[in-house]
Amino acid sequence: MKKEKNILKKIGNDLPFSVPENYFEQFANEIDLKIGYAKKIEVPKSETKGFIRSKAWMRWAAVFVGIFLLGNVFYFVSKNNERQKQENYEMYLLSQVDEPTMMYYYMNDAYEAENGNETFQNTSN
Amino acid sequence: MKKKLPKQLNVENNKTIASEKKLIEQLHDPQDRAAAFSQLVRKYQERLYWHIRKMVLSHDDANDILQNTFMKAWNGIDNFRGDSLVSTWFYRIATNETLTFLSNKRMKNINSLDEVEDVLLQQLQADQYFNGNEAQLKLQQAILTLPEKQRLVFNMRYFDDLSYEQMENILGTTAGALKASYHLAVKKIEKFLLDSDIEI
Repeated sequence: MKKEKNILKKIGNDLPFSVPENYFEQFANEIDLKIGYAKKIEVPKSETKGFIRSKAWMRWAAVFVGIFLLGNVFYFVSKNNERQKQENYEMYLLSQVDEPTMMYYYMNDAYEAENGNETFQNTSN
Repeated sequence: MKKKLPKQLNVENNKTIASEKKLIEQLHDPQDRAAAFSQLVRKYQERLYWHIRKMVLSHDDANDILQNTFMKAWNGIDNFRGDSLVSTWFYRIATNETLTFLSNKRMKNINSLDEVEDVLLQQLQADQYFNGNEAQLKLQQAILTLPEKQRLVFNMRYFDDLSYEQMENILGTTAGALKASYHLAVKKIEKFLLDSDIEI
């Protein structure tokens, strides 16, 4: 009976288990990550400001580049429209002139080029 | 008659209660919640780990259950009104998680010839994080012969020396029933150890 009472005492209540090295420290860090509470490495204030400033500078540069590119696009589109309008107008004018008159204009241009400002006399009429 | 605590211990106790109250308040403030929870994890992780480990024996399983315990607590903070101690709340979740884990293991093992307890013992013998002698291994084997709830009671009393009052709060069983359960468990274990010829 005495042996019975002592047997548990003799074995003792020390736990015969161990854990991997640094287990609890790592475990707590893992939970921190999971709950979104990770103590981040603090960046010195001056560096933070520099970083924020450089970020702002980059933002402004991006805005200017954007405006420049957009301006270019508008410029080329409006130029293209103008040229198109001009071509349409010329096509319209040409459609309004008959063939003999057209010939007269061509001849007149050629004559002017050879003899200065004198006008070519249309003898066909 | 109640034993009077020494003055210094009383001050310590009051400090602990005050700091715990502050942590509970912070838990309910979305801004401070994560910081307070992180402190609580650091405070209670070891106790809870050993509470779980004694039941499942394997380190890997204990690690998984402990993670689940804290994540369940984190997700259920709004349900914790501070009526009980934070430690009691954590212990309750850990106990439920452990019992659920064992019951799932039992279900998975239903077609096997070995009982879950045999599987746990085999795992323990192969576990690199078990460093007990022959007598300690036999004691673990003896504990595994007890029903799960009785194992919980025995472990909490024998290894952690928890009071019946604390166990009552965690397990929701009356102190009288817990006392009876513990004494019965001790008898069973002693018989098992005496029947198996071990040298101590």
